[in-house]
Amino acid sequence: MCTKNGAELSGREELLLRQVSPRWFEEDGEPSSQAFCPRSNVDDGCLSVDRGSITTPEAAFQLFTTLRPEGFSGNSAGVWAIDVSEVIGVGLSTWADPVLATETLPPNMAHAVVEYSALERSKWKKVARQLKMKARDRQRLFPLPEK
Amino acid sequence: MHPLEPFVKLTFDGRRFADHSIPVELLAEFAAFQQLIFKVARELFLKRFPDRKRLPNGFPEAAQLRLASTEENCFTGHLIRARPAVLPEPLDFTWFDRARDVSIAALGSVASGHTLPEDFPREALALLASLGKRLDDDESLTIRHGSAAGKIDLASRGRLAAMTKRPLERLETVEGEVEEVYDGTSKFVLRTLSGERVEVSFDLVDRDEVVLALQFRPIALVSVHGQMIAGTPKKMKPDELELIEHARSDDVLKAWNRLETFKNIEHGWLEGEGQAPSPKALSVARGVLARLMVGDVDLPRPRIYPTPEGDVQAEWVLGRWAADVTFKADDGLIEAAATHADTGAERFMTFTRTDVSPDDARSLSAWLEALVPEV
Repeated sequence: MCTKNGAELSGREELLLRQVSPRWFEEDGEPSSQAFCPRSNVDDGCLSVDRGSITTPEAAFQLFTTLRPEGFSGNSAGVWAIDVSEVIGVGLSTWADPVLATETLPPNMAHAVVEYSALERSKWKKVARQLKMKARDRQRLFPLPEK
Repeated sequence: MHPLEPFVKLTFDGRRFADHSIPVELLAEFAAFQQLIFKVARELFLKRFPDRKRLPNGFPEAAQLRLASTEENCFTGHLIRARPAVLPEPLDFTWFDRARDVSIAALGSVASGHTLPEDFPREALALLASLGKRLDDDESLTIRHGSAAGKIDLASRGRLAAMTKRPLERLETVEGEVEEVYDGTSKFVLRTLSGERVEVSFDLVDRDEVVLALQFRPIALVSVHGQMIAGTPKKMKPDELELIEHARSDDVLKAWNRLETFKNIEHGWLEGEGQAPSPKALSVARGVLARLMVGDVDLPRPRIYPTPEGDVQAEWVLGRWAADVTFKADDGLIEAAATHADTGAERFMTFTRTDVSPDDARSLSAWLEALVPEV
């Protein structure tokens, strides 16, 4: 179980914005289901997302990819989204987890986590596949897909 | 109907002739029959005149036949004589009439399982056996004159092959993959689309194409036309060899190019974590995904990703199913898992190298197809 700094999210329609690593995206395709599964040895059973009620897909992308100290120097192929009701529907929960600034990193007040710990680890990939499909249904939110 | 009495009628029976037409390559059977008539007439003539060492002037011309007309049934061609102006003595057309009658009688005997007539010259046996080699196994050729008829089909050809102590030969065109190449003997093993293996001889001029077909298997196929010799294994001497691109070539090449980029992934690729994809996983994924796509033209091209464990993961969206097929880094196992987006229903299967390989991915293909039967 990971540490959270806020309350469980209850607004069922709130979008949760997920950055997808370029290695987990293929052009003219969609994100890997791995992008929606915490890494068992690193993430403490929580998947990082940004709250759609506080930020936008583009702003979240810029904050994530901008070099430090203004951003998090992350690599992202783009932003996909699931919503709180979809997370609840697969047996998970979502928690606010705003991040304060440090000496080398900016704040991220929109940060939240999807908690997987309540589910058996053997079920995580199954749930990740379902959430991938939900995100896929919305298509990439930023950058917008080419028509 | 041509005004001249037909010398002989040749009737082709079978699926390919049902629309009253004939593939052009089978017209060679008419030429083969003419060759037989010439040979038989020659031997009969020389037997009758043992002191003669050579054929009389005009003999080859007198043996010439022409395709005059056809009937509207399966396919019947009438051959007539191409009459030369004058025949020198002792030549007359009866030699060729006898050659025809003796040949038809010989074919009739073989077809009914009897021995060859005494007067059929054994020197012409190889030519008799060569008739019909362009026919498919379920086709026949019947040669008639008047009430006499001789039928050539697979059974009679088999009997003639046994009589001549030669392997049964057929002219065929086969398509398939190059499985192995033996430069020392200039042969390669062709795995046909039906799964048969044929040993094919090749000339040096074709070697580059053969090697290319091996390297790009299964998207590069070869089409080989030539003499197919029955046996175990079947053997072939090609007259023509052609390289053909499989219809899924583009999709397979995209997948291969994607996998090729994974060779540049280093350890720590995922925010300092993550094993580089294992060479074994890459190799198995390359072969199996190619086989999956050429074996199932309806299966979409998968999207392919590395995993932090060093595996290679191929993903499909099939209807409302999200399917992952993971090529494991170390043990060669293939794990297939799928989840329905809306119901959460799950399916899972582990395949070993015996179940699924670059040569045979049918069980994995069936597993994927079962997710969405209408796909």
